[in-house]
Amino acid sequence: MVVMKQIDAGNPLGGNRPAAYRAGGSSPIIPLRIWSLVAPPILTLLFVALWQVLFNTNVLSHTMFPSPLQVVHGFKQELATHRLPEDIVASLWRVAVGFALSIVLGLPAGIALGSSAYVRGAFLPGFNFLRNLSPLAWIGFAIVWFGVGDAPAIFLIFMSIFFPIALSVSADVAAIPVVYQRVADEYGLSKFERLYKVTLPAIMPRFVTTLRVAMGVAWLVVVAAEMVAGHNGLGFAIYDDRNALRQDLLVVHMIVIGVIGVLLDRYLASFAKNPTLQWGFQRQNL
Amino acid sequence: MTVSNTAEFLADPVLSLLDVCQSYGSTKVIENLTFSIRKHEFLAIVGPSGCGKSTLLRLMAGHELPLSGRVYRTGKVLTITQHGGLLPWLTAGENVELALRKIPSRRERDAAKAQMLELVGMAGSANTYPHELSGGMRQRIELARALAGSSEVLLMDEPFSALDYLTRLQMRNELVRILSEQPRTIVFVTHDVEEAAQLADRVIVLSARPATLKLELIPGDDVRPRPLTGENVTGSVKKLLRALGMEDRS
Repeated sequence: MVVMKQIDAGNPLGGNRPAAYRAGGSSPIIPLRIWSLVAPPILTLLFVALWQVLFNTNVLSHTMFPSPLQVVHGFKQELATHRLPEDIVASLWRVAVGFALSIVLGLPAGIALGSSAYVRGAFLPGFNFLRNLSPLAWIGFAIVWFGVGDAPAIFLIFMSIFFPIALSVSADVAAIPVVYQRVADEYGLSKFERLYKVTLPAIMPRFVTTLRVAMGVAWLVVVAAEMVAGHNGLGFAIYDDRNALRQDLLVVHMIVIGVIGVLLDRYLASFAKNPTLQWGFQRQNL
Repeated sequence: MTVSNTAEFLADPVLSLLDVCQSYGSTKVIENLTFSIRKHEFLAIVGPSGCGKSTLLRLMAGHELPLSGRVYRTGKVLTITQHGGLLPWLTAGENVELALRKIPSRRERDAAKAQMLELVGMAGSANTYPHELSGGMRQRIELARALAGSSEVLLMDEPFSALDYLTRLQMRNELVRILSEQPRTIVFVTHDVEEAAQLADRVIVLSARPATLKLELIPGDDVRPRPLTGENVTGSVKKLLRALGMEDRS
């Protein structure tokens, strides 16, 4: 008699399935969704507890690094003086303007570069040259041209992400499958229709990733820019903390910068859940 | 079953090739190809892999210009490919609407879209994205869009090759049913000689590269899709395989 055995078709190493499985079964011990929500706070609490223990046992020198409790105290102080919210708003404003400018100009520049070999031939060497210049190299000019405040930081953010955005978009446009271009040809789409019905939607899934990378760079650059050409903002606050030897506030501002960076990235990553972009995140042979 | 006389099809051609040659660099892909397709004819093209069938379709569609010779088209030509030409960011309904967007009235446009989706048996999938559909369903939507596009000629480049065998059999029946309601001229490139023998009014066999016309065959004048085990199909398959250089062991 032939005995048929049912085989689970799931691949424990593939997709979103975690590696942890019950013996003899295919369902995970903890669903990935719950694990992703629970594990990071637990790890953070463990890290903070270890930090406090190292501080209490003098493994961490009290003059070199603050304790978690000192950081909490510093955080309360910053909130009480309203300085922290003001610095956050100042930095976010600069990033928002620099980021928006870079997209508004970088997207069309990238589409032009990606659509025409002639445009690429003329402008690509210059774009690559400027892309490879560190944005910090522009600081001297930024201060001379714009003084201190919002403008130099916005300028430095623009110089650091405009060229990568344009080049990334140009590569995405050049990689649009020919079959979509032929559909546009055969169904008689005008140039404008081709742009908003084919080109822009076709590059959007990758553009979301480009935006996430660009935002990360912008957030790094605003801190550096405010340190040298600011009178407020989180970068300036860190500069101020260093001069005042307030290591507790240094850690407060580092934590705030990190948390805001993660939140901004999460926000941009949520665009990928848009139904019109889902196709770009599927492993399907369309 | 007879080998056809090309001349009889020249009476009412919607697409003609005259001494068409195509090369890529020093590689000759098509050499002196001449044939015509009459209105509402179902022409299947078979040939060995890499012989230039897809190149031939691109020439017919006007996506490429021949190195020499002429391609004559009398109407609009649309292509359906094996890889799927649906725009994945649009729903099935929006893809069909792409072909209907010149209709000014929203109500008329919606009615035409619903009619096309109904015709291909996908009335309930208007709001579904292509990646949520099976391969067969995507081909139906692409067919609906092409039919909505009011083209005279549909060029189908191995449209069912990515489907499983049973779905292919089902799609053959569906294609014939749909064409009986919305007649079109079909140029159907396939590797599957059985598919060609079941569906086509006429089959053209191309030689290995550079592609030349090796055989023209009319599988029969019976109702399509012809029965798989019927004499017309089995006999045609044998002839086609022989023309393709495959040994007949039956």
